[in-house]
Amino acid sequence: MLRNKQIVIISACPLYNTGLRHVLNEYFSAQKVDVYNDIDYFFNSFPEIYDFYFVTSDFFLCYYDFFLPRKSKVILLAKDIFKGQSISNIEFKINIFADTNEIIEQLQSFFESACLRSSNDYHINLTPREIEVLQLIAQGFINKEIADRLNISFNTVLTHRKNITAKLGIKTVSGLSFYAMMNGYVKIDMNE
Amino acid sequence: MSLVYAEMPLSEIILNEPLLIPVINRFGIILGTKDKSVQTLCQENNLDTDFFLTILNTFINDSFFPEKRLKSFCVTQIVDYLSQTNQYYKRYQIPNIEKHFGLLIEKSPYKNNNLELIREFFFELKHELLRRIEDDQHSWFPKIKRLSANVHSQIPDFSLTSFLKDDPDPIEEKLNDLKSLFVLHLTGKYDLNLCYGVIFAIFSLEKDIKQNNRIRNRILKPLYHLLQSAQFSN
Repeated sequence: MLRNKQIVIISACPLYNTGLRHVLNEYFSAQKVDVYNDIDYFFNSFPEIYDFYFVTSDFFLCYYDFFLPRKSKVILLAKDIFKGQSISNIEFKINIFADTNEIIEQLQSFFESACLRSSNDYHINLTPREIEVLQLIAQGFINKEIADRLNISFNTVLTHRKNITAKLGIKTVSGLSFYAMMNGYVKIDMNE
Repeated sequence: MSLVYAEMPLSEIILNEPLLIPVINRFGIILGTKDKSVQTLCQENNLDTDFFLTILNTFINDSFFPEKRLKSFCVTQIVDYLSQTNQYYKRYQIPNIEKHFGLLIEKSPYKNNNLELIREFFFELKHELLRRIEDDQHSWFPKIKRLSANVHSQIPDFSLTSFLKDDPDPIEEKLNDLKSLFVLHLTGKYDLNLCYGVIFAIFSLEKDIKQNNRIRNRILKPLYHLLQSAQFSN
């Protein structure tokens, strides 16, 4: 179910983390589960890349600005699931004191609805605007120049780039350039 | 995989995790180890068993990274290991991908432009990696060794958090893009078996580089900065 998903568990308790990772590996075939016992390490790595965030309520509250915009991807690891106004914004919570079968059932229902959501909004095809941005990236233009050429804001260029990377699974400028060549979006010149 | 220990036969470890073969090779141990334990083989090859085991364990367990233990080894030992790792990429792993790539393109029944484009991307990545290796060998590693020989005072224990604000590693990012170009976007006809060979070789290099980067970024870079400041305060 979670074969291609990147999952992260962020909690200060290594034993919870190990147990949860085991459940994700065993019952949901999760292959990429990162674990952070220290929230600073998490933020100093690549915090935006994950499909699902398992996070304890205290970390969630401390870093509300980061987690709230990603709330559809957050599963809260709560000791008392009814506490806290801000936490009530999060739809999915797991009571860490629940028994294993209950936790597996809760996870199953979360992942089923999350995968359904993502299959509805996932299209590998780029929009016409994203293709224009990709063509300019491949021609070596930087974000500001792309914004000027397409008459859009710098932030809009960043959003397009982020969406392109998410759809294609390609992050670097040269990777995107080669993708553009492979798909005929820019002229191939192998002698350059 | 579970952690491995000094008393375990190395053959048993390798049978469970064959990706360790290039790692043991760069320590000078080759296949055909019979039922000898890790400790015996380390003694025979004049290796520090603790260091060897730590490297094996961090390699086979992505989430296992014993910083305290790694920091306790001498800087030269870490530099030598990374240096051997670099040489391994240069002499074996990169040429291996290149060789398989060449065969894949040659043996494809029809000309596949996409494969040739992906190979161009691989060449770009290869040059970047070789540049980094050259820089390590001729500039950074010798500098660290010099600093380490000159600084006689005890290096204070350091917190790694302040050193973790590195930019994403461009080589790891490109390797990831290379995999995506194959797995998500490859079109046209090609030899399935040879294609698997290329992808497997890329995955193997990527795993190795990730491990190498963890040691570079989380151990060697902080040590280097501390050695530099220790030299100024001497």
